[in-house]
Amino acid sequence: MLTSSTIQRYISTIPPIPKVIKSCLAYLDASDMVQAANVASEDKVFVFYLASIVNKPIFGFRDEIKNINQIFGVLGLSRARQIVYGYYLLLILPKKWEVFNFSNRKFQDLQSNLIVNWNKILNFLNINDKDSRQFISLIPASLIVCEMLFRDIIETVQLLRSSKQISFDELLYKMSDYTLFDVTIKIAKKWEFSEDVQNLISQISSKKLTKETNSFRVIIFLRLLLSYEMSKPYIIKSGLNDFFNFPLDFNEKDIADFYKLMDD
Amino acid sequence: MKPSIKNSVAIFYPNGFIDGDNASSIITGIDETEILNKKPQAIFISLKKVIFFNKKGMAYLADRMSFLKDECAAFVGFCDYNEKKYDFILSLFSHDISFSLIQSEEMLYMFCGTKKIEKKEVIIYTKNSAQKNQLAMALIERKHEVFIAKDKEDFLSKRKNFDNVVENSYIGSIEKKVSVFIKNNIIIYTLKGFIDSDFAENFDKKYHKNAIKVGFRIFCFNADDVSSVNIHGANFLAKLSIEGAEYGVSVAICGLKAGKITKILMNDMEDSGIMLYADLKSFFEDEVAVHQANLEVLKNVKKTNINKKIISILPEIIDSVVHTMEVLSDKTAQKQSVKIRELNDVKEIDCLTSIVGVYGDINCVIILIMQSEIAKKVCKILMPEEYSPEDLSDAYSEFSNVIGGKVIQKLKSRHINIEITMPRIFYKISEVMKLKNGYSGVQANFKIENQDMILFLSK
Repeated sequence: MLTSSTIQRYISTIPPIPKVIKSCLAYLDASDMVQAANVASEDKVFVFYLASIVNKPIFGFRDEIKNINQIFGVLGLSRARQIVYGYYLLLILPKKWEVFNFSNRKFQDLQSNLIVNWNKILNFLNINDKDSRQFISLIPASLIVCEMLFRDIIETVQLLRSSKQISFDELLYKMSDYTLFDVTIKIAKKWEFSEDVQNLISQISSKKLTKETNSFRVIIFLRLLLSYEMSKPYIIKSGLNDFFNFPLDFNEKDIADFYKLMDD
Repeated sequence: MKPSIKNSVAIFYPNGFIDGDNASSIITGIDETEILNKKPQAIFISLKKVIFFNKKGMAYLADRMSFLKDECAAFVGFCDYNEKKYDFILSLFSHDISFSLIQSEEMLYMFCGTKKIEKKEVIIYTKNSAQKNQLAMALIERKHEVFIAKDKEDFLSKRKNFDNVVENSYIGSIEKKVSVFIKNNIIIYTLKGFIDSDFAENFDKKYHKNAIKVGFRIFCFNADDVSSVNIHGANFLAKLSIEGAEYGVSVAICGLKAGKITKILMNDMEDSGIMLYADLKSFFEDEVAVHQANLEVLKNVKKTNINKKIISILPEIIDSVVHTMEVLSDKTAQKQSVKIRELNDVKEIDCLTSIVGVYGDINCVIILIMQSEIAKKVCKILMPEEYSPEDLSDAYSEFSNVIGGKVIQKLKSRHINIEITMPRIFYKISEVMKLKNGYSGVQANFKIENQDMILFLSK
């Protein structure tokens, strides 16, 4: 059975952020790309991760980028920060996906798509604050959480899901009183993300979101983006497609604007 | 995407966006195999969690559902949408869809599935009058009590008295490719856009020919929504009129105003015998033309005999007729006899008769004769409380059309593809006998509370 104590135990097993990464982020926050690259180069796995992400087709670089200075140079400060935050997730990625027909390569594709498309959205909305940009890197953590938490009870979960159409976060909530985003917030806390980032995450599935809510449009477009990415064929085939459960009251203009952005 | 299959209803729940890229992941080959193994009564796609869909995605899903419908004779379509999505789907497919649209999953179980359902009182409203009857029939089959709202005003004033409201729904299983309906034994084709060489090429000539075969005499083309008619379109219509004259058939065109066609072409059409009217209303006010629709038909159609192939589909036809009749009247039909014979020794009784032409893999006509009292019971739900003989005739025609639709579905599961014409209604057996004099066929006689029902199947 999945309970709140299972979740507490799971959170306690999540490793802290390595010093190299913290230090790299501190230099990026201070806009010192040269020092950030120097620090990053000390961790070979980190450099390999950055290169594998930045050379994904969605970033659109014609030649392969290998050198860490080049990587930060072509990405720019805000995108570099997002990708470094994304590295956090590598710390909790399973070696093999068992609940879902998914892989770490596909996970990285999803991460890259989210980062690139999210930047398009923020540029369109004319939003440039650090928190809104960085928190996208943490969202896919929910997928890992789901994989890890349901692993031991997968047979029961599959039976429940085949007899009753129920999403993973509904199941999690019914079993443990936690939503997937509650767990993501706990991870954000453990990794010392700011309170503003934690608030933004809590609003993603909120049913009380109104036009008066701070970051209303950011959340609306984030919901659209998550739904859009979750509708991609490789996600549907993986079984992760019904992952996020949030209200779908979008207006037509937002949908049209969003679709246009994704087509560009 | 694995469908949820409960009570013999399979439902897919895609979320987010449906487009050409991801539609093939929603219904995959594996899903189709699973569905074909389980043979559910219905296969639907819920749009509850769908934010946006486009034509490419929906066309792909409609195509796959059409395949599944043919393979396991299931009721297929989309459910869980709002009015905007409903209108959008209809407009995507130019109001010509072969799948069904049921507004909610809850409502879907009122139409199908093995789940035990309580009898419910339902009010139906839709702008499409043919759909009102289709929806009503489907619900009555499931033992619900149905009230069909006459118009929007009637619907708005009465909906508060009903727990269940069927609105923005569409039964697509027996929709025909041709946009056609029938009134007072007159076939009315609805024309749209440009009447040109494309129209001439795509016009369903087989359907038209078979409608003549079952005894329709007047074909009216409603040109209200026509943009323009060119020489190819005008020539084609003129040709239809000249060819029809051989069988005593007339062609009328309504709503062809100046600006849509040149004066010369208009004159050419008149010269070919086409009757021209300002609109449908003025056509139906022409008593001579309307009367002509119910006159006996010239017998120039070549006679052919019944064959084994036709006899092989008799069980499906009997089953469809008896089942639909029993469901609508709540009476039981008792089979008296089934014989191969000619129709000419049936005694004249007070009855209604429909003739439906069947064409495609099998060509034949289905004649259904029902004594008036039982015909009125069967048609009760499809008519207003106070009805005219025309209302009864239209309702009997609708009832026969539903039977035809059922036969199409049943035969599809045997990989026999057929189309049907609209039913032609007769009030006297003698008129039918003049049309089918000397034809041999299979005749099945039934008794329903001492009333006769005769099913005659011939070439």
